[in-house]
Amino acid sequence: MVEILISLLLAATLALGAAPQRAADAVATFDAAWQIVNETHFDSDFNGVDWVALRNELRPRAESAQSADELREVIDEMLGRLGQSHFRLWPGGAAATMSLPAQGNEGREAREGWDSRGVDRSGGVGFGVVFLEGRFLVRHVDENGPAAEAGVEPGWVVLTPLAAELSGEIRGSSGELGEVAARARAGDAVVADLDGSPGSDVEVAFLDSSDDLVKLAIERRRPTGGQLMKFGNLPPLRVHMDSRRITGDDGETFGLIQFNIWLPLLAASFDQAIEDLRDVDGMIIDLRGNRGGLGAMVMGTAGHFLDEPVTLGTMQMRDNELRYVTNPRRVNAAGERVEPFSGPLAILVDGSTASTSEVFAGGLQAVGRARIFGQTTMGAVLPSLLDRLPNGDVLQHAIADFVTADGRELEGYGVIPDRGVVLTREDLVDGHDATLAAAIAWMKKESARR
Amino acid sequence: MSRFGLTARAGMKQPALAGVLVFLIAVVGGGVGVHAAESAQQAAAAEDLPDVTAIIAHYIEAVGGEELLRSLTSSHATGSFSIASQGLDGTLEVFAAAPNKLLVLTTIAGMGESVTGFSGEIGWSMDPTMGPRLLQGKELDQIRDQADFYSDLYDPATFSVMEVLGIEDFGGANCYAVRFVRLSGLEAVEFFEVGNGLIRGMKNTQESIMGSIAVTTFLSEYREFGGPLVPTMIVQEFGMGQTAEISLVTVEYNSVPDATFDLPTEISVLVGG
Repeated sequence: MVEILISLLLAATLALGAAPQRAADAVATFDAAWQIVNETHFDSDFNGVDWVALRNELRPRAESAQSADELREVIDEMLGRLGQSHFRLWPGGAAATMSLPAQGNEGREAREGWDSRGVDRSGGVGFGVVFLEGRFLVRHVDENGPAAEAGVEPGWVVLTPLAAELSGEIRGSSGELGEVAARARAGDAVVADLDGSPGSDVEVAFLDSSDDLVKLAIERRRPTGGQLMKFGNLPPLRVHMDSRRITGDDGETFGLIQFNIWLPLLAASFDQAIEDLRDVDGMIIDLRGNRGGLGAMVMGTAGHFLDEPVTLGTMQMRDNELRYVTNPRRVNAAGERVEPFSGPLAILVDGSTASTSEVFAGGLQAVGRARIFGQTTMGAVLPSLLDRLPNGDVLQHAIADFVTADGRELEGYGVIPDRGVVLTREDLVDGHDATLAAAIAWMKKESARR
Repeated sequence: MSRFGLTARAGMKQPALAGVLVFLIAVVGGGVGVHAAESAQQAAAAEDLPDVTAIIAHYIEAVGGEELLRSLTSSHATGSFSIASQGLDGTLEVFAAAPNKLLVLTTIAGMGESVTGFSGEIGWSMDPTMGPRLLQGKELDQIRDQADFYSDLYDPATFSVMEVLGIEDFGGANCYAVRFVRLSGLEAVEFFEVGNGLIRGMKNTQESIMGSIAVTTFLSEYREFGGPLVPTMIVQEFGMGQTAEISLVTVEYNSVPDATFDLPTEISVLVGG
């Protein structure tokens, strides 16, 4: 049934994308997008952008837009000038059909099943990438996915034209604020560039682990696995949560929980995972690749690890402030009295950890409850709304800044791990998770010390 | 405070909206609105204004009279709501009983069920994002005020301030703006239509665990369900261009079992320390 609905939505997208853009609609949509940001941006200086002048500059282009796609380019440019995260336009039909990768926590940001021109791009190749050592490397391969079946392995170098082009751009912008986010988004683009119609093949060239050239035909497929969830104007998202127990060399046990997005319907699963792992010597929350979700979830989730209400950080809007306050979880779903987990807590992050995940990690780091392992996060943390525009597209727009309890801004800077772990191609090839290993090593020491 | 009056409260109590708002804060970061106390700047000359007692008496008469209101001991309302701009919708159910019990259930697509209650002593909440918790501080004050089943009678003993600010247009109608401050310190400006005496809406501050949000509420489409008049359309604006629209579908009176307000097991455990 879900697939039928999605197909209908896809058809709607096709119609939307193919239809000529009426000038009146285009202007109304452009004006609405401009006005929403004008009224809700948390910074009355618009991050240094002359917002009125920008409208005057771009509005004529919106008036003359000949297609929905042209109009989107104009609005995208307007949003892009702000230079901040969470300003984005989701094509209307696509907003209802976008999906996350089927497997793996190193997933890309939600990508469109169809592009704005109505081309079916819902088939993916089943791997994710990371920018490392100046190139895009295969970060993970979805288990049983098309790339896995074709023989693609982690650590291989992706040799597509777009990968080469973006690698050059990234190398040229090294050291700039927002570089981590730029790398992650470039990685998204490299993978999305391979998407296409399900069942079709795409030939991709790689350098394998021996640096030999390999060309593989990968059959594109729709993502599978996980649970498809829909929430408000967010597109349907494929949600994964896994938890397991890790036993150390000396018999210690550690809990590992990983999930790819923060949605309310996952909360019960997280609560259950905590319940199942309550007796472990240490807990690891793996947020690598987790791009965020519903911000309020950090309050109940962090409450599993804090025995008192604690402010993790503050949303600072133009005229108001709201705090993320934790709720100590002193009762479980069975109605039994419990205590929040008080053992060592490690949070794993990387360059594609973003938004709500950064609020959670940065917030718990700021109050001294968690130790962060991995690589600096994306620095894309602004709380946002998703408003539907007159033409059916969805405007995502930030309405607040976020500052941790110890006064740190995360936007642009990200969460800097307490224990940085350098990701290497060798580790990818060998399947060695150095970040997880570092966290376990720390927990062994902590549990022994306690 | 920010009540809909007993008639309104009999069908659609503010806590239902509070639940929605808390949820929205969670989602969207909340909002900012016009501060209630600032809204009556267009007040007419004070000497032209009726006494607050007269305004309240007119209102009580308009919705059905004091005798009818006092004949009610409980209510159960059902309805739906939407925040169209965010693509969110859901259903709600509100149970209330004299003297001060309240239970509000909201179900939001993609989120699940949230419940907020006041047992007469304990204010509590359970939702998927936060888990079970006891309300404290301003949140507790607010739900305690909202649970006052007969608050539409505007018992002066429950207020520290009741003052007529003036006449202004609110929701397209000429209204008396009346400022109320509860003994808890929570306040609101309510707007009573000059012609028919009905409440057209209010401006107040909604409390949540994350902080306060200024809210403007518009009430319309009054109708009766075998009791007093009830506004069946409630529209709330809470800044950031966000509007929640609540539609009341059914209201029943004097049929809510006392056990409805029993604390859930999870909350009882929290109360037990």
